[in-house]
Amino acid sequence: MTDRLPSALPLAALVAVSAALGLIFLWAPTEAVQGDVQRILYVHVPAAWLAYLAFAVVAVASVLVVASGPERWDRVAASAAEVGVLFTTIVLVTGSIWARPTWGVWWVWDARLTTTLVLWAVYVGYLLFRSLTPPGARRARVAAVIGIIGAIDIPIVHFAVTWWNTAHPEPTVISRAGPQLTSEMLTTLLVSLAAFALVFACLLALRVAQMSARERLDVLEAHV
Amino acid sequence: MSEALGWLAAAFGVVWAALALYLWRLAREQRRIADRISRIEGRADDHR
Repeated sequence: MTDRLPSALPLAALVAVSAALGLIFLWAPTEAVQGDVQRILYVHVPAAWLAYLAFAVVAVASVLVVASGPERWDRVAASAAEVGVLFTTIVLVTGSIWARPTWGVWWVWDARLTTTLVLWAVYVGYLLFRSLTPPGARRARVAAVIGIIGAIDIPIVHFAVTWWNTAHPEPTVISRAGPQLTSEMLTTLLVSLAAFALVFACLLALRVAQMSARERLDVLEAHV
Repeated sequence: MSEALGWLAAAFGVVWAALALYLWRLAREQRRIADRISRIEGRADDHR
């Protein structure tokens, strides 16, 4: 992964976010049962998918830390964990706001919500461990183990709605019967997913570049 | 109708607030890095 942010990436993210907002509020049809509240889907679902991706990046980078040493991959893992926690926070809060008018409650301890909260807590713990431990190979190795173990929860979160009876609906896009959305809704969701993916790439590249700069400065300050 | 829009505004507000907060944190870190570079450059000039 590059340690510099490609200049076209933020511009592409800005264009994609603008396009997604236009489609969400001006083009996507209003859902018959839930009404306008259902438009929360267009941020809730992409944020969840990008959170999965972020924690998968943590796991892969953590395996590389264990296999080949902490240089570079430790920075990637830590940066992806930060962005993953950010996106999971968005998922939990937007989900709660969506639940209140549709289910009548802010939260239920069903399998999907609980496993998502566990995923969030594991990676908050991962970041806390990193911030409270002196930098070095030992911190990188222990963090890598937490990062790998935490990722086991990703498939559990995803399949929780099919393995157990949950208040949370089953997948509406990736399901055996095909997408359960109209073509306009699906297009809007995919554009929003692209926008979130570009924002994710920007934040990850920026954070990796910052951590790299900080480590180089630590070395420089020790010598100047 | 207006209640639904209220919930929608709250959800999108949370998304923007979360992203803005993280970007603010990144910008603060960037300023710290710039300050450290300035200090190192100052010390290097003093050595010369």
